Amino acid sequence: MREGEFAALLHEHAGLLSRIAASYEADPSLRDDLLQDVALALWKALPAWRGDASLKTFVARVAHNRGASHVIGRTRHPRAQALDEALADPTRGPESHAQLEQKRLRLQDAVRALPLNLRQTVTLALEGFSQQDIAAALGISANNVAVRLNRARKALKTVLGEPA
Amino acid sequence: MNPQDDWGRWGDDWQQQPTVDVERLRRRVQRKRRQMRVMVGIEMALALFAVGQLVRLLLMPGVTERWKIWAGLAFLLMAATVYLALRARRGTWRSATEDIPGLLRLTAERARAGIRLAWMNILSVPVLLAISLPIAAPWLAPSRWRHDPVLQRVLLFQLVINGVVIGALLVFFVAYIRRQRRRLREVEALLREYAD
Repeated sequence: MREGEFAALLHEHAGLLSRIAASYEADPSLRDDLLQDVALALWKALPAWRGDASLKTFVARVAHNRGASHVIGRTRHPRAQALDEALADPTRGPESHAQLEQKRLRLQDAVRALPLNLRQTVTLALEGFSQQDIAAALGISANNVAVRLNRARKALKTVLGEPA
Repeated sequence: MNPQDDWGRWGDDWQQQPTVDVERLRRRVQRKRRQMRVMVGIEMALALFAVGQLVRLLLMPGVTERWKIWAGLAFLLMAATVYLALRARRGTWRSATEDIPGLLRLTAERARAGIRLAWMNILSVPVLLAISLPIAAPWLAPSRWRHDPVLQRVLLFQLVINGVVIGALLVFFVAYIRRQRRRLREVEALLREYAD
C-alpha cells in the first residue's frame, strides 16, 4: 500500500479509530500508543482485505482486535468499581465541563466499564453499524449481536441512571 | 423510550468525541516502521556476526575437535533462536484480522508456548554445562591452573562472566514465566466473559 493511500484511509476513519481506542484506554498518552498500534496493524493487515466486508467494517475489526490485545497486554481488565470511580471524579463536574461534554464523558466511561464482549458490540452500534455489520466485524451471529445489544442497553441505562 | 431511540441518542453523544491528529499519527507510524526495520537489520547483522565468529573458530588452525563440536552446537542454537524470533513476528502479523475469540485463543497459545520455551531455556543451562565442562575439563584440573596465573585469570573471568549471564537469564526466565502465567489467567477470564 502506498503512503498516500494509507494517509487517506487514516483521514477517512480517524473518528472511528479514535472512538474505538477511547473505548479501551482512558489514559490519553496510552491511548496515543494504542492508536499507533492500531494504525500499524492496519498498515500490515490491509493487503489481506479482499472486499468480503466493507472497508469500514474491516478497519473496525482490526482496531477492536488491537484494542483487545491492549486490554490483555496492559492488564486493564475493567473492574467492578471502575465505573463508580470514573463517575465520581470531581474534575468531571459541571463546574469544569459543559453539560454536553459531561454527558459524553459519562457515556465513554460507562462503555469502557462494560465487559469486553458487550463493549465491542456497543461501540460498533454507537458508530451506526448495522447488526449484520457488527456480526461480520466481530465474527459472531446477528442473533448474538441482538442479545448483546439488549443486555448492554440495560447495563448502560442502569449505570447512567436512566429509567428503564 | 424504545431501543432505537436510546442507541440513536447515545450514538449522537458518542460521536462528539475528539478525533486523533491524523498527521501526527501518520508520522508516528512512519517512525515506528523505520524503527522496526532498523531492529530487524540489527538482529540480522548480529546473527551474521555470530555466524562469522563461529566459521572463524572452525577454520582457525589448531582448533581441536571438541571446540568444533561446540561451534556446531552453538550454530544450531543460534539458528533455532532466529527461527523462533521470526515465528513470533509472523504470529503478531497474522492476528490483526482474526476474530476476537480467535485472537484470545492465539494469545493464550502463545503464552503457553512462551512458558514451554522459557522452561526449555532454563533446562538448557545444565545441558550446556554438561556439554561445556567435559570440553574444558583438561584446563579445570587443579594441577593445571594452580601454578599458572594466566590460566587462573582466564578461568576466574569465565566463571564470573558465565555466572552473571546464567544468573541474569534465570531471573529473566522465571519472571517471564510468572508474567505469562498471569497473562494466561487474564486471557482465559476474557474468553469466559466473551462466551457469555
